Amino acid sequence: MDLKYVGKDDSVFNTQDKASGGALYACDLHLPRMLHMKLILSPVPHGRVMEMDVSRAQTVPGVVKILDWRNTPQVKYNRGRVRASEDVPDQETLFTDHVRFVGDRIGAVLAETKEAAELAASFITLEIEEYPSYLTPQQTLAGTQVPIHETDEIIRPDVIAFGDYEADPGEELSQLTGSSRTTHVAMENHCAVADYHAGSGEMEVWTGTQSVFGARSAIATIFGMDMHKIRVHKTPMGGSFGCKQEMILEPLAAAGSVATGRPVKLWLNRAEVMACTVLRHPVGTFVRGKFNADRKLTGVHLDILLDAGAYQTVSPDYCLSMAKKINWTYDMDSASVNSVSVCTNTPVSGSYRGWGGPELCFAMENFVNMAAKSYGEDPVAFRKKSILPPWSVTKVGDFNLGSLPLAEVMDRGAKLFGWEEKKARPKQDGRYLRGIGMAISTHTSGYFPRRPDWGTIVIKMEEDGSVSVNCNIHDHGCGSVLAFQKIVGEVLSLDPARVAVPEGDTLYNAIDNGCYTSRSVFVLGRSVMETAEVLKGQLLDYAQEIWSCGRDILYCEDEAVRRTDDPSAALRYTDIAYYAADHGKGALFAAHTYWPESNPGPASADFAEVEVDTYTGHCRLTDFACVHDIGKAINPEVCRSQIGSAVQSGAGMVFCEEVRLDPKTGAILNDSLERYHVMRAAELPDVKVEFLEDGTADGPFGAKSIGEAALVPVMPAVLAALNDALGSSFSSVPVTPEKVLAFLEKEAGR
Amino acid sequence: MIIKFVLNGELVSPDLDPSRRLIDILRENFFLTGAKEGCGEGECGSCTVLMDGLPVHSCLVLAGQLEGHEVLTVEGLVQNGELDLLQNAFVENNAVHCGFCTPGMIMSAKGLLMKNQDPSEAEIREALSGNICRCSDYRQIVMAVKDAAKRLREVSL
Repeated sequence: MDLKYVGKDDSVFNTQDKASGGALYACDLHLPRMLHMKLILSPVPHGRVMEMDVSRAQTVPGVVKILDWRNTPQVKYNRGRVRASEDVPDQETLFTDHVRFVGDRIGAVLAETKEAAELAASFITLEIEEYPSYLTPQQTLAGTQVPIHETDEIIRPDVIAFGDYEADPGEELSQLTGSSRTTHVAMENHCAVADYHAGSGEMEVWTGTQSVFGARSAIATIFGMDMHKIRVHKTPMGGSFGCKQEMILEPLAAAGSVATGRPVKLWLNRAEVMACTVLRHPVGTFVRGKFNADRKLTGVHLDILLDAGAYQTVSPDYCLSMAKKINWTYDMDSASVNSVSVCTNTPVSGSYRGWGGPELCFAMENFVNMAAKSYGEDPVAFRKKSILPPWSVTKVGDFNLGSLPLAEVMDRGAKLFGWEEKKARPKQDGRYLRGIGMAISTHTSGYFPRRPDWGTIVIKMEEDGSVSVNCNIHDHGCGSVLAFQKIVGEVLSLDPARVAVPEGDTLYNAIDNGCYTSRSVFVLGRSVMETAEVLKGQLLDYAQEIWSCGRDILYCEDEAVRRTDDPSAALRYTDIAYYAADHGKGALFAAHTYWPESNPGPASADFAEVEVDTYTGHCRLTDFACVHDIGKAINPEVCRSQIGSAVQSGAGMVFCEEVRLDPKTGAILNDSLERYHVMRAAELPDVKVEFLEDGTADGPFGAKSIGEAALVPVMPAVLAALNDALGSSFSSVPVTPEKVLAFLEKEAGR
Repeated sequence: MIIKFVLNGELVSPDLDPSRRLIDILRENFFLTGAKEGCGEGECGSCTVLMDGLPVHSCLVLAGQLEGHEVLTVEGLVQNGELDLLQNAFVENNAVHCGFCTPGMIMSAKGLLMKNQDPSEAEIREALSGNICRCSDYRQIVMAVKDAAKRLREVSL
């Protein structure tokens, strides 16, 4: 198919507002009489607040109200719940006197200025009876003298298994992998603005969220409000990577507004984002795997230990999400995955780009790289014996994984990277050691068949021929709005600049699952595409009526319906729109629902080259290549950025990204960007990217997912390169310069 | 105290607490919300503006330091509603994603191009290393700055 907009790089019409400084994020909003909220956070890991002295705080000019657990609803909720019907553990309240980690919310100050709110909060003194604290899963598993929670402190999700692993006679290898807490470092710190009108009982909220319906549901549940009176707007979002998908700030800002009858802004600083929103899970995975005489992988057994932090929130589902992906990449006769999600008196773990996918891939690919090394085989050739063939049906969940070109992404990736040439090079270059490594993965393109999924869309054409799309889209900043503009533009042969795609708004959008699990383009994008086709059908109907002609001679091009038998004839869309209105035909308006019936796993292969400075222990990513089976890249250059950002954070997790906790209190030791290092412009290579575009998938124009999938194989590929350079067998990250130097010293001492 | 300085080409004289941060002055006194706060300690670069032509973190500059100086923000680059050459280069090279780092990134790049109209890739990456972008590997941003430099050289020829 000859495509005019899809697959082209033009994004100019979509980004000018951001480049001019004019785009308004939640933190840029200012409403008349707006108050500022400052949270009062627990200074201890576990205890009971006996006294909270606010007398001095109340003397600060501008302080309007102080909230705590005594004057706000004590409804228990789960911040990860999108719809009230979801069965997930309820453990959290707006504010609590039973504090469960350093950073748990005790209360909040509301004041006329943020300075006044901050000053007043600093004047509040707390008397806390301290309880014993449990800072590691092992401590909780050994038994809690004072429970962190009365129920669901430890959750063991269903074992996911097929075949009989223990009966497999193959040779067994095993490995323990671990990854640390990390923070997302979305550039925009979390912010929500809530405005409650006591007279009408209406609540309006502005927030950079991944689900306006999730935020509405949480507010409705906690405050017992009717949903139709709560309007949540999704504002432009300065990055999420998962950190803005849970309902954390919206209920708090709403509580402030309900309590004062005034608009309230809650905007966290970087330290607060790290301490009291959500961090990436620390996870330990023990992998056992068996190989037959040909050294093909025949089965695996995984034990996963997830540190949920102080509240379970989404962690049990994380375990299941890891487990259910066990048969998406390798062809095996048996697999079993045991997992446990454990509460500790530490900051809450939760959603991070990939939702268990990167964690499972890290454990499995480290294991496979270790096995290849111990058998003395090339990692690419070694994997080819064990990968699933195209169009495989996974034994967990029983659905087709799509074209799944695992061998092809590896072959093309090896070529793009120069794998064979780099393999032949000497490792040592003066004080530097160089190594290479690779990893493969698949991921999801939506909920099917794990959860019911759909996309309900309304598209209308205005009388000037421009188009407005009503879709529950939440652009994380990665261009999904732009993708939808192009999809509609392509279907209707209309300049995408003339397609409006406003983001999530509970008042107008049909209920939706939210922009999670890489479903935006695959599910909502396809829904938008089909709805645009319905609208196109209406345009053709009217053209047929006006011209009294057959349908088969009509086609759409350049914002007009045209006919093959008369190249000069054209009915511009605006003419048709006026015709329909002026003749009382009704609106040019299409409402449509699409239900996905497939979920192709995009295959990826990542190749990394790492250089280690043996003097300093500093590691540098010197080359990186990725081949990703995207099906169809709607905006190729923006898709490249998805890979680039994944490499930045994935390599960062291997080299440096780690939220370190005080071993005595669980307080974050490095709660600032000065002490939490992310990879900068000068530390990254120009990442080489190639997309496979076979167009076979059910997504719009054949697209599969990329956003989360991009991160999945990065960490194991980079770690393998680091291990290759050093001749080491690190299987836990980050591998900091101190660890590298300690390893080199130990080797030298041998 | 009354502090006189030039903001985006106009002389202004607001009454300010001398310890007030420039970022708050821009965002709250002048409603110029282009400069963004991402860390409050000069690490992320989202609040970068130019002071006398040099990139500074507006979260680290205090009102008392402004007297007699010239401050240029991302909004000040827009002339008669038209983006300037550098802003257009960001837009046209797909260098704008979530957009939160963009104003600061553009101002750091502006500072670089004001003193070096032919920077190498390494110089660009070095100049932008005080600005964090999490949506990319900086590839498109580097391309945008290179492209802007080329256009600037063509204009000045």
